[in-house]
Parts: sequence; C-alpha cells; structure tokens
Amino acid sequence: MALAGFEFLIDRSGQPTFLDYAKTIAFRRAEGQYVAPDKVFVKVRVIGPGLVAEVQIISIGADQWETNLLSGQWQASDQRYSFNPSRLFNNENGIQAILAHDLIKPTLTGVEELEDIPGHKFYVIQASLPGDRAYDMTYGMIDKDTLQAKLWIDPDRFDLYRVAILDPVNPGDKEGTTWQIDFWNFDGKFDIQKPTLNGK
Amino acid sequence: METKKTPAGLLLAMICVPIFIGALDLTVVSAVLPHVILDLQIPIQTGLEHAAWIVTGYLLAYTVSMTFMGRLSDLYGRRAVYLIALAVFAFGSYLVAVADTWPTQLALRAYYMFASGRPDVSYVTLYVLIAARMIQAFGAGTMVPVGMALVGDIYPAGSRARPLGVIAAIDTAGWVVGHLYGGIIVRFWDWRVIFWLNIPVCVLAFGLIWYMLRGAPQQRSAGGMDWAGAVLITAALTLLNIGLGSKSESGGAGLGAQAGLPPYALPLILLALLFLGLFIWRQRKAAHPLLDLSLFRRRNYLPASLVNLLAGFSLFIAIANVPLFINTLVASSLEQGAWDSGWMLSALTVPMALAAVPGGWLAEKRGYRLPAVLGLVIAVFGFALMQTWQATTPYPTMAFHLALGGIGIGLTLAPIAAAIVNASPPDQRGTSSALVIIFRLIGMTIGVSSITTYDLVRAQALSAALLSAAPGLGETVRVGMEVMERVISESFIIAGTIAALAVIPALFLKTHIQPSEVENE
Repeated sequence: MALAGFEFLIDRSGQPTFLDYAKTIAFRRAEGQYVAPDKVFVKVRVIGPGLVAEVQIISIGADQWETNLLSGQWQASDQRYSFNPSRLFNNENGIQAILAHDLIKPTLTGVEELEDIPGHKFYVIQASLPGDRAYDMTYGMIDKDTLQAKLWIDPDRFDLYRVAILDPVNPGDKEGTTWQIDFWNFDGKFDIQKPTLNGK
Repeated sequence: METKKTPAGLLLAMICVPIFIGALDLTVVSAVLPHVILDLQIPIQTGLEHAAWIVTGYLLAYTVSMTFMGRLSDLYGRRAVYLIALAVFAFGSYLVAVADTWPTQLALRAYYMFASGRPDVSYVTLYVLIAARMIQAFGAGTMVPVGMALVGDIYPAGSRARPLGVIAAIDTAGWVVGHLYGGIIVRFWDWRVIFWLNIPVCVLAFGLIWYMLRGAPQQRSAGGMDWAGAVLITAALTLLNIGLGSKSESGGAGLGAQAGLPPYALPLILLALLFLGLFIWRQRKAAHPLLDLSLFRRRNYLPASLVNLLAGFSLFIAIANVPLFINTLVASSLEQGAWDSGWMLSALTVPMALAAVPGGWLAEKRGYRLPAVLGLVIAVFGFALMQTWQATTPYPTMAFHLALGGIGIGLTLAPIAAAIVNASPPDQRGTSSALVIIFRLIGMTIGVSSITTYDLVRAQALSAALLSAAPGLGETVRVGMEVMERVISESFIIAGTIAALAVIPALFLKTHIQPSEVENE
C-alpha cells in the first residue's frame, strides 16, 4: 500500500481489550487519517469505569500530542502511557508490512457483498497471522497466539477494503475479540499539522 | 358520551393508568441516563449534548402533542384518538427497549443506501433511541388532554373539577416518582426493563378502555383542525430547544470540544420567537384556534402562567443536576449513582407534591399571592443552600436542602394552578388545566436544554483556566472534580435566581377572585 494517505477505522468487538495493567481502561474504536510516511491523526474511544471517553491524537514522526480528557486542549503526550498510532502504519512492522509479508496460507475463498456497500462485491481472502507480529504492532492489545484473518479486496482497484482479525478465546474469557479495520479514501489529501498547544 | 355500563370512577382509573406511566417516563431517564450513555458507548465529552436529547426529546414531544392532540380528539372522537395514542406510546416503548437491535440495523441500511463513509454505530443507536423516545412521548402527551376531554364527556358539568384534578395530580405524581422508579429498576435489572414493563400495562389498558367505551356515542365537533397553528407551535418549541441545547465543536475531544454557542444558535432562537409570534397571530385569525388567547386577558392568567414557566425551569435544573452531582462526585458505581439519585430526588419531589396540600389550603384562606410568594422565597433559600454542596456533603444535609426547595416549589404550584383554572370560564377549565401542565413543561424543557449547554460550556472554560500546560491523569481527575463541583454550584445559583425572578409576576396575582367575577369577565 504505497499510498499518499487514507482514512481508517479500527473497531473492536467481543471480549474487551485493556490498555492498562489494572484492566480499567478498554479500547473501543479508533478512527482517523494517515498521511505517508509518518503522520497520523486519530480519535480513540476508550471505556473506563463508569464512562466512555474520546481522546484525539496527532503523531508526526517521533512527536506526539493528545487532547486533555477534561479541557479538550492539546498537550504533548507522555510517551510512557500513550498509544502511538503511527506504529500501526509503520513501513517495517505496521499493518501494511504484516499483510504483505506475514500472512500464512492466504486462500481466496470467494466473493462477498458487504452490507455497508450494497451492490458491490469483494474478493475474500482468508489466512492465518503470526500473533507476535500483531502483538508488537498493537503494544500487546492483540495476543501472541496465531490469529485468523479475513480480508476483503476490491476486485476493480485491488484496494484492501477491510481486514477482520479474530483473537481467539483465552482461558477465563467468555468470547474472543474481533478487530475490524476498514480503509477508504485512498490517496486522499489530509492536512495533519502540529496542533496549537495550551499556551501556558 | 354514554357510559352507563361502566362506572365513571372505574373508567377514570383506567384513563389514569397510562397517563401515569407516560408521566413516569418523563423523568425516569434522569437517574438512568449515565447507564444508557455507557451502554451505548457514547463518549461523555462530545456525546453528552446529543444524549441529553433522550430527556429533552421526550419533554418536547410530550409538550407539543399536548398543544393540539386534544383538538384532534374533538374532531375524530376521543376513544379512537386515546387508543391510538396508547398504541403509539406502547410502540415507542418497544422501540426504546430494542433500539440497539433491528432499528439500528435498519437505520444503518438506510445510511448506506444514501451516504458513504463509516457511521459511528453508537451515535446511530443514540439517534434511533431519541426518535423512539419522541414517538413514546407523542403518545404519552396526547393521552393527557384527551383524558381530560374524556372526563368532560363522562362527568356532568357540575362535577368535572375533581376528576380533572385527579388527572392533573396523576400526571404530576408520575414525573415526581419517575427517577426513583428508574433508580430502583437499574439497581436490579437492565435499564431496558423500564420500557419493556410499559408494554403489558398498555396492552391491558388498551383492551379495557376499548371494551369500556365500545358502543359509546362519539361526539365530534364541527369545524376544522388548525394544522398551521400546530405546525407553528411545534416548529417554535423545537427550534427553541435546538438553539438553547446546541454547542459548537472546536475540534478538541474533551469537555472543551464545546467551545460555546455555535453561530447558528442565536438565529435558531430568533427563528423560534418568530414562529411563536406567527403562532399567536394565527390563533387570533383562525376560525378554530388551538388556543383561546382571550384567556390570557383574564386577571391572574398571565402572571400565573409566567410563574409556572419559571418554576418549571428552576425545578428541572435541580432534577438534572442532582444525578449529575451524585454520579460524578459521590457515587462509587453507576448502579449506586442511579439508586442514590432516585432517593435524593425524592427528597425534592415528594415534599413538593405534599406541599401542594397546604399550598392549596393557604390559597383558599389567604389568596394566591401569599403562598406563591412564600413558596418561591423558600425555594430560593433551598437553592442557596444547594449551591454550597461539596463532594463531602452528607446525604441527610443534601436531602434537607432539596426538601426545602421542593416545599417551596410545591407551595407555589398549587395556588398557581388554582389561579389559572379559577380564572377560566367554566367551559374552558379543561383547556386551562392542560395549559397549566404545558407551561410548566415548556419551562422544564427550556431548563434542561439551557442548563446542559451552560454546564458544558462553563466546564470547558473553568477546566482550561485551572489545568496546567501538560497535566497528567491525576491532575486532570482532580481538576475535573473541582470543575464539576463549581459548575453544579453555579447551576443552583441560576435556579435560585430564576425562582427569585418568578416572585415578580407572583406579586401581580390578584389575591382573591370571586366566582361571580369569573363569570362576568
């Protein structure tokens, strides 16, 4: 995917995936824009004890900023605790690299119509995915076990439209976790700049 | 309408049951709203203004339907309109209970057919839920004036006052205990149970009312329906609420995302006032107006309506802020928050309902002005005490302050309602009883819209001022608590100020009106 940029949505369903060791803050979804080679803007929604919150993150190269939960004003991210979205699209170990090099036994299983694009059919590819690569990419949100992946590809443009990754059920969990990642607006032009910080 | 086969008292009871449930649903959500927001996964910073429409939408549709559905029943028959309203309420309740299942899927399919991109499913479900609540409210609001008109059909002219009072009291009792009912339900079950429970009651009431009124002659009025008037009043109230309840988004994702009123807020409010003016003009010209404006020329009618509006406004600030205070600053869990909020709000609303009795008695003995003004002064004192609340304030102290506010409002509302109804000619008392409720509801609707806006905008300004340049999570939480405490305190000051303003029209209430004066006016 050597593209100028695209929009994406990462949506988790099933068993919650926690972002902290105390298991209090769970990842819900992230929607944003990517501009090659290293700019990402993303709105991350998390579920905490008794409330759902949304944080915006801008990542440019090694620098990263996020909005304060309370005031909404931009501040520099604390790299120790923050989620780094640019890592998701890193050329060496981001999602593009994993899909290009690490899929195990990819098999074309047919064509499917997705309900969100009525009347348009997609090639469907199913494969396995080494969990350790996904584990590194997501800071441990995805387990190290071997994962099942399903890809929907536009037959006209060969664009990757959707990836669904199934993280299998762990002992003690009621169900597995499904990660659905959608891509659209390929080669779209997005203006991602360093935000204006709280002037204090 | 002949009802020889069914005792009038039993029929009145059957009419009152759905009205009570409909009124219950006015406030039932105030205690469970945090549950709903969490369940739908709506982010608190950017989604609260939308989620507030779960409350506002119901209040709005309830009020709007009350303004013209009574007239529709004059034209098409009470029984048919009442039963349709009951069915609409039951269907709305069902839609609320299942909002996140097939209705959301249906809405998503519609979205995909006409738009591209990725809709946020949480928000789609929220909008479906709001629409379902409005459908529910439209049915519930219709039942009040049609129920009152049914009383006019069932009871002879000289004995209508008591059953009309019963319907008004049942409607008030419903929203007085709604939040406690909601708090108790979510303590033990899912919030959807509240809405599932409505359905069997509605089905039973539908069957009984259909049976009891079968074969009864349907008296229908001549003349037509003022549809233009209905559209104008609906547009005015809707635009006013959207204008008052809208916040701009500055691009941030915190409470600061609401950077103040958006540029379209003022034009919307002005447009609402224009529609209100057109509605008044239309009512003067229409052959069959929805509202007889000549009523407002009667002594006491206008000042009592203004007091009612302002009292409803300040009352709902308390109803909105108590759950907010408890959930954000006191309770350790959402279940605890809903339970505690329900009980604490009862400390406001139960004394309010009980104070109506001495309020009515005082009005009879000393006239309307004294209890109305006395009640407002006590309410101002109660709100002044509420603004001192901190996270450490014990519940008994809070309950005492709320009880003072409730007693004050209760002392005021009874003489106000009596002043309006007694100022009406005998054949307009049903309309006047409905107007008492409508004015209070308009005040409550405007109150919830504007106070949500105020709370969010003020929280943004305060948090921006108090946070350092790069605050950590600990500082953010600490400042957040401080900001909520201050914002809620300020809201109670606003409620007290509104109650104090209501003293002005209350002073214009004529102390006594003799029945002969009413007949001659």
